Amino acid sequence: MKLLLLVASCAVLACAQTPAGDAKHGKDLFLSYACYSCHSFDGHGGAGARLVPMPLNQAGFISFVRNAGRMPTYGPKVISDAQLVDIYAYIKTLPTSRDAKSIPLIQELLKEN
Amino acid sequence: MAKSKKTSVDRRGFLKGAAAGAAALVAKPQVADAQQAQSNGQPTAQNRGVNGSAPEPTQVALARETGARPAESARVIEHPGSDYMVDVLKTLDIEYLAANPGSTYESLHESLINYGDNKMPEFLTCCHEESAVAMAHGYAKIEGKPMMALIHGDIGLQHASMAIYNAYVDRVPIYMVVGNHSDGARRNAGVQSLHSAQDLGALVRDYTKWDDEPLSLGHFAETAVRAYNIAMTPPGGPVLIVCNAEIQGDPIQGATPRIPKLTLTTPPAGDMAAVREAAKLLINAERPQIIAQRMARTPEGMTLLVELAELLQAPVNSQERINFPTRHPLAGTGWQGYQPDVTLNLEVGDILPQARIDRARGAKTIQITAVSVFHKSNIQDFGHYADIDLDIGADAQATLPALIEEIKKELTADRKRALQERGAKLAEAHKAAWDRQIEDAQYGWDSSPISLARLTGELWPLIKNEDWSLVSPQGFVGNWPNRLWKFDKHYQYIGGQGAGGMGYGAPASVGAALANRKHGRLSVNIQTDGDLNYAPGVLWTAAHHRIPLLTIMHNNRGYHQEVMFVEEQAALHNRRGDRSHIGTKLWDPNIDYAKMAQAYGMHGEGPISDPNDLVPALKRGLEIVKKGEPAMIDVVTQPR
Repeated sequence: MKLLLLVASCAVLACAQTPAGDAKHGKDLFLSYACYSCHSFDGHGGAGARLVPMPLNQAGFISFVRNAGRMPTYGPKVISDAQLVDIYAYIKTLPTSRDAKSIPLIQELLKEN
Repeated sequence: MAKSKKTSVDRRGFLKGAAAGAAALVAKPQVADAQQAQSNGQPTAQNRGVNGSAPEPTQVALARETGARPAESARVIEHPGSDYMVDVLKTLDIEYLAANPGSTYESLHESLINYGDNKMPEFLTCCHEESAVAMAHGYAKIEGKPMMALIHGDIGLQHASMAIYNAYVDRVPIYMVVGNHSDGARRNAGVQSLHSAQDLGALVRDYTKWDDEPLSLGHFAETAVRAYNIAMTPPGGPVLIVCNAEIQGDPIQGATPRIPKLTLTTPPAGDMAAVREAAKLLINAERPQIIAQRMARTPEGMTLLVELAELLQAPVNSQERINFPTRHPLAGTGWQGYQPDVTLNLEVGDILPQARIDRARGAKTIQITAVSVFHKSNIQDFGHYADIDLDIGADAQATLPALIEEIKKELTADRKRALQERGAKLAEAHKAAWDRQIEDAQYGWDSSPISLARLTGELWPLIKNEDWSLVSPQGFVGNWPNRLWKFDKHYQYIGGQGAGGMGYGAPASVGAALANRKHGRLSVNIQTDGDLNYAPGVLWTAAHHRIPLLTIMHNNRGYHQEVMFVEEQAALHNRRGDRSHIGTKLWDPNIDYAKMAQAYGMHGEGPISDPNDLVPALKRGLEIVKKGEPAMIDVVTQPR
């Protein structure tokens, strides 16, 4: 019982620390900040990494943007935490791609290799 | 491919309209009055340039440039020097010349089409000199020999300059002739002076392989033949003949000079002692790697590289144009963690990055390039100076036979067995790497705008059973054709711009498609939108001259690479990142490429942004191209 309470209170705390974000506003930001230019319009990657499925939690995402390796580092003056929360919320709405196995043309191409 | 059934009715209709226009022009009295008022076309106070600058063109000169000049006299020149120039050019076996018309070569123009019967070379009308030279660039990369670009004086040459620079850096032979009114005493006042120069070749000398300004017909013959030879001797490059209007237009006096015989210089091959040393290093290497950029000048180059790679069982990292079949088990950079201990660099542009890596890991760097023995000073295309262990100043393709023989001689049976084991491992790594690349096409497969993987992937089944040729660069399309298609012929890929100059793609594709036409090949151009908008008039050239070419717009509505760069700078400068579209995007309004194609006289459809609409549109386009016409499909795409 004590353990259950602890887990529940941690979950509440986690919720308090991770605001939900406005996915609609996040989409506007995703476009105006040209995130799409490297990651494509629906996050499937291009010159930059694939964003869907998003492997990071919200805090990890913000931390990555602030201390990026290969991509430019975006400081809070360039884009605020609140804006990143909205972008994160938008990315989470993006559908994942179909698996290669369900795409006949890709299977054909693999057979040719 | 079937010939076009387009009738000549349209053209007759156009000519009728043009004749009426010309008559109206002649009837305008003010032109004649003005001509009389300006004695013999000399500039007046009214038309003199401001601040003592060059005078504005006189009415006579303008009328001359606009085609309404009066007949100068009743004299007839039966045999102008330009007829002889045509005789000379015909000995060089040049199929085509591309040109935007200009008065500095008007005599030669007329001789080419009448005296020369518009054959060998055949005249191709271009809407921009940059298009003319870039067409010749694409043509040469398919055909392995130069096409001619005929260029108008100062202004035409400056228009052409960017395309010349691309070809120079790409080591591609182009045969250029530029008109010039060199004799100041015989020039008309005004425009003819503005289109002439004391040293015209100087405008582009930094990035032409050779130029000359012959002063007589005999001199022209020697220069013309020599220019061809120099353009073709590796490293290839554009050459320029400044062709004086006076020599073109003056009558031939007496017997014509003998035309010298063209003999191509054999490409420089590597010194044998150095070749032996290279062979030893490669045989004894545990993890050799071959890097080839502008190595395979001809199909023979590919064959030789396959032989070398198989002999050594070494991976081949082919860059720029096609040097090595993409699905060969040795294509690639080796297995994960494969760290070469010897790299053989064949015609690699800037070797410093590789040499640095080699030095850091204690590996040996071998270079073979003809560029080592050909340098100029101003343009920095020679790249960085690098630490190289063995630098063979010779054409790589010409050196490979000796290197192969030397390796065959030195390879023991034991060593061969060890190399075979390495080869088996490399083949496994190649398959795994290519499988991964193909599987990556799944990401964004159903996206709209359409992913470049989807576009490229859907095209492949439609062309793979044809004799196809990709005539556009791949860098801006994420190299998806390389990842998904099987390239195993020399003409299937011609590489990129050379110097990275945009505006190359569309005209080079048309030039390459022209070269492919007589072989019955299907030419495919995945065309970036930014590039096309430099000089889209080349679409008309393709339509007018019935050059079959399927152009698929990679329409990402922007100079996409620059969007990324500006965004990166905003982050670096710690400033707002929501303005990177300023100066980089091509929207508001969106450009309607289907209408653009239609306006230039070819089939155009789109914009297509639903991936389900893609294949039917591609099929319609291909059907038209197979009938011998160009067609364009506008596809709205993901950025890259």
